[in-house]
Parts: sequence; C-alpha cells; structure tokens
Amino acid sequence: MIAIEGLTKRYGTRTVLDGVSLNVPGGSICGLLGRNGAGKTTTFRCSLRLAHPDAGDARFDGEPLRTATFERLGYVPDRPSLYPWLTVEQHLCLASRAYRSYDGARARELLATYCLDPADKARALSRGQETALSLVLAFAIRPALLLLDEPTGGLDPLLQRATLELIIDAASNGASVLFSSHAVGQLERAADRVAVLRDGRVVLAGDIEALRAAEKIVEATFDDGVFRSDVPALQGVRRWEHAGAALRAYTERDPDAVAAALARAGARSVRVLDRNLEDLFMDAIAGESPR
Amino acid sequence: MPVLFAIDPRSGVPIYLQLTDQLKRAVAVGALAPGERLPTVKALAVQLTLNPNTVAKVYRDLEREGIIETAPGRGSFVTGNGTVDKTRVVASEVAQRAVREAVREARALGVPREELRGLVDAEIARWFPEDET
Amino acid sequence: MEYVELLRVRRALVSFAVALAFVLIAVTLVLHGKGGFTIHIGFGKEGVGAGDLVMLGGFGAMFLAATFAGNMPGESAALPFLWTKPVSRAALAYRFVAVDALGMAAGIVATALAAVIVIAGMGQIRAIHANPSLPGDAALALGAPLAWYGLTLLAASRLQPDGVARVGALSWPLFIVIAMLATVALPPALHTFVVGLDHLNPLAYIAGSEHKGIGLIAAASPVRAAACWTIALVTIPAAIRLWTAREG
Repeated sequence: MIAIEGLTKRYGTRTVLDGVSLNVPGGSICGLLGRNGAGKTTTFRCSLRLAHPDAGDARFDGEPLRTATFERLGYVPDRPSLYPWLTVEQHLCLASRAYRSYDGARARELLATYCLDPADKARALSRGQETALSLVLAFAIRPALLLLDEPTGGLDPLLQRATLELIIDAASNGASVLFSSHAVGQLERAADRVAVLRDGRVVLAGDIEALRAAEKIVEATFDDGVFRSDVPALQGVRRWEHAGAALRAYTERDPDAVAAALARAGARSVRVLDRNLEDLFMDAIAGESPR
Repeated sequence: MPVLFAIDPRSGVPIYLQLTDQLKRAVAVGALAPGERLPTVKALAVQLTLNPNTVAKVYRDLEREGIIETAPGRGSFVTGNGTVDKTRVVASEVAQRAVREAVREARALGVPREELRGLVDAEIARWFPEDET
Repeated sequence: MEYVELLRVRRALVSFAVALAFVLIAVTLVLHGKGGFTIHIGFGKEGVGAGDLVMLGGFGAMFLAATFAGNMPGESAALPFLWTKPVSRAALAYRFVAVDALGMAAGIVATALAAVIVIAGMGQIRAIHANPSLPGDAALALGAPLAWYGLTLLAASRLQPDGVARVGALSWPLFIVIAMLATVALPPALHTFVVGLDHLNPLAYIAGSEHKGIGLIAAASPVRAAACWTIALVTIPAAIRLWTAREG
C-alpha cells in the first residue's frame, strides 16, 4: 500500500506541490491525472526522495521509505534514466546484481514482449524503447509497489495495451500501482482509483465507482421554461447548465437528493444521468468553467 | 471462452454494469452454456484490460443473483440448475432495462403516451413477424 | 551496481595503458637516440630506487584521479536509476570509490612497470634497487592521487555534468600554478597564503622530497604520505555526504 500525505514542495517562490495526499491500497490501481506542470512527476520524485519535500511524507506498507523498500518497488521515471553507453543486456545485468528478487526468466519474457534486442546500446533506442526497457527493469522483480510516471509514453498501441495488462496482472496479485497518464481512456478501464492534480493540489480523488455514484447529471425539464428562483441554491451541485427547456445540475454528491429537490420544484420530468468519466476528469484537470 | 465482450468506457454506463449485462446476455442467448467454466477474475481482467476489482465485483454480483456459482479452488461456473428458467429471467431483466430506458427517453422528449404505444407496436410487429396476440 | 563504475574504470585504464605504451615507445626512442644513458637520478645515489619508480607510478595515477573523480558527480542523469535500488546511496558511493581506488592502484603499477620496461630496454635493470623509504614512497604513491581524487570529488559533488568536467580540467593547472607560486618570492602575507594552499596540493607532496630546497614540500615520504592520506580521508567522506544529499 502507498500512502502519500501532505506532500509540499517549493522551488524558490514557486509552489509546485501544495499538500498532496492520496492513497493506493494493495491490489488497487490509482491513476494520476493532470496537465504538464501540475505536479505529477514531482509527486513521484518527492515520494521516492529523489527530491526533498518541504513537508509531508510517503509511506509504503505503513513504513517510511527505506533502502530495503526498493527491493519490492518498481519505478519508471518520466524521463528515461539509463546509461547510454551500456546495452540492454548490461542494464539487466546491473539490475540482477542489485536485487535479490530479480527474476531473469521473467526479464527475458518481458524483453520479448517489448521487442527489445539485448545487444542494442541504450543510446540507440527510440524513446518508446527506452520506456520499454525501464518497464522491463521495473517488472522483472515482480514488485508489490509500482510507481509509474507516464509508463506508456512513446509506446505503440499494442505495447500500451501490453503494459496495461502487466499493470492489471500485478494488481491482481496484490500490488499497489500508482501511474500517471495522459491517456484518460486507459485510466477508465484499468484504474479503480483516481487523483487529479491541478496547480500542485489534488482537486478530485477517490474510488472511481464512488465518484461515478456522486458525480452525476440531474436533468430536469420544466414546462414553458419556468425556473423557480430557489432551485440554483441547492447543495452539492458543482455547476448548472441551461439547455432549452432543460436544466442540468452537475452534482458532486447526493444526486438523488438533488433530483428529488428538482421534482419538488415542479419539474415535468427529472432524470439522473451518468457522467462520462472522461468528461469528468477533463473538467477537473482544466478547472471548472465559471458559472 | 469464445465469447467476446465489447466494453465501451466512453458510454455513460459504468464498466461493471456493462460487463454484468454482457455476461447476462451471453447466458441468455446460450453463448455461455450451463455448467461452463468462466475465466478467473485475474485472467478476465488481463484479457479485457479491466481493473481486477471491477471484474471481481461483477462476479460477486452475478453470484448473488444466482447466475454463476464459485467453487473455491475450482473456479466460477455458470449455474446448471433450472437454467432454462433462469435464462428467461435474465433475458427479461435485460429487456426490461432496455425498455425502461427507451420509455424514459421518450417521456423526456415529450412524446405523448399514445404515440409511444404506436411506436412500440410497430417495433414488435417488425421483430416478431408471426406474432400471436 | 558499482559494476558500472568497474566498466568505466576498465575503459579508462585501457586508454591509460595505450597512452603509457606511446610514452614508453617515445621515451625509448629518444633515449636510444642519445646513445643510451646511465642513470644518475635518485639524488646523487647510483641507480634508481624502487621507491622512486613507485612514486613515478603515483604521478601517473594522478592523471587517472582527476578523470575518476568526475564519474560519480557526473551521474546526474542516472540518479533516478541508481537511487531507486535496494542499495543505500552511501554504500553505492563507497563502492564507487573502492573501484576508483583500485583503478588508481592499477595505474601506479602500470606506470611503474612501464618505467621498468624503459630501464630494462636500456640494459640498466640492475640499476634498480630497493630503498629504505619504499614503504613510505608506496603510501605516498597511492595517497597523493587519492588526495587529488578527494579534493576534485569534493569540489564537483554538487555540480551538474558540465561543471564537473570543468572542475576536472581545472584541477591540473590549479595545482601546478599553486606549486609554482609557492616557490616564487611573493609579498609575505600572500606567500604564507600560497604556502598554506600548497599544503593541500597533492602535486607538491609527490614532487617534494626530504631534502630541503629541492621539490616543494620538504619532509620524509612517510610524513608526506600521511598528509595526503589525511586529505583523502577527510575530503572523500565529505564529498560523499554532499553527493548523497543532492536531489536526483
């Protein structure tokens, strides 16, 4: 389990992370979304102490980060961290000497999955191949903790799918996975938790099913476009939209209560619609439009 | 399992509900035979690139409804007893949900009751040519 | 994980050996051209002290010292790779240092061997004899490059790769200049300052001798060795502390 609590990081006067907290239980896949510069990479780096947080901490299976934690932690950085003058094979060799839990057979399987030639020097690899090598190194130890910063960057669609399958397989064996991605579609299927960062803060987080249940659109149709003046003052509504005779409330909790209130306000018909997750995430990433 | 599932994350319908419906439909049309073994949660999750917890929830829901049964150590199977009735019940459920959605949509669009009834009759005539009324 | 450093050091030693080979051939040709020579070095004694050969080896290893010292600080791109492994940063750093020290020792042996080959080529191999200062000389031969290594490592420990390269390149002229300035007549305050600096100068230690007036730091070789080792044992851990505290 990965527990990040109150991470804060400043570079000079710029606050890159402002109290970021999120949780990934064992067997859970958490997607980290946000624009470039929102703080995703810094979150990873501060959690792994590659950068020094000004406040906050990350705990792994209840313990602070220790040297021994890395025995079961796989990390893929946003920018490949490899030795240009070493071959793929030599990188695997480095890993095998560093980890007790390194599985050479598994590593070879993964090399084949990602179509990597062991004899290629790292500097001869394309961007996608560098990512692939980082993934092989991370998964070869069958980690219980996975921190993946844009693990599908530069990969072709087949390899992106293969990577997702690896992530899902790891989670079904009980691993905690935190991965950041710009591919919102991938997140919807593979993740059961999500955290959206905007300007260094978490603006949306939690179990995806719970979010689905809370974030709905309540659409109420009124006759002759009559709106009661007290309707827009309802609790738990992120924003309102008018669409002809229909009024739409984007709820952030308790959609049924909002639906009931609109019915009481004299709506001809009220229905509760599920929100498209992708739209939900995009709204959170970009920031709500002012109403 | 030869059955293919198409999960569309972009529709507003939750993924677990889509998978549940599709599994039920497979049972209803006989694509999943009674007593047939389902893949493990892990295998199905990887195959469909879906979150394992989602798949686990689907299996739990189907088990609760008596459509599948799980024997520890042996896997999950489509239930074998009284399946004919069960598949009929499942089929009715799936159909009812579709009808509910259609009627609600028509209501929201302001389609009058009589016109709606006419539309339904027309569709029934279309799909059930030898209709015994 | 220090395997990387092992590979790097091996590469450097190969280049070093090639360079040595060239120097060896060149020196042999020059000496042959002069019609051979009899050896009068060793400050008045006949023949060559083995200790002097070893010190020559140490001088050769100083070329390696500046190169090796740039390796660890220059790792900045690979830190996310190195520092997310189940090896502590300090352990990693000390292993790197161990590999580098072994590399420098190999450099000493290689250089001394090359000198022996040149002398043997002149048919003067019997001119070599063990001298009583051999242990002290050997200690100095490794101590001075290590001191150089430590000082350079400390200066470069927080820098980015391009800064590291500059520090390595500057170390030679810097030490040479300080050594030269220490032997020049300067206003008293400045002279004291330069002489003080010179006491941190590995070049001054290895080029010094126990005889006053010749060479730069006048002291017996064990004393000079002790000074160099002290510098090394202070700067290296300090550099490692600084390095492990950086952001990856």
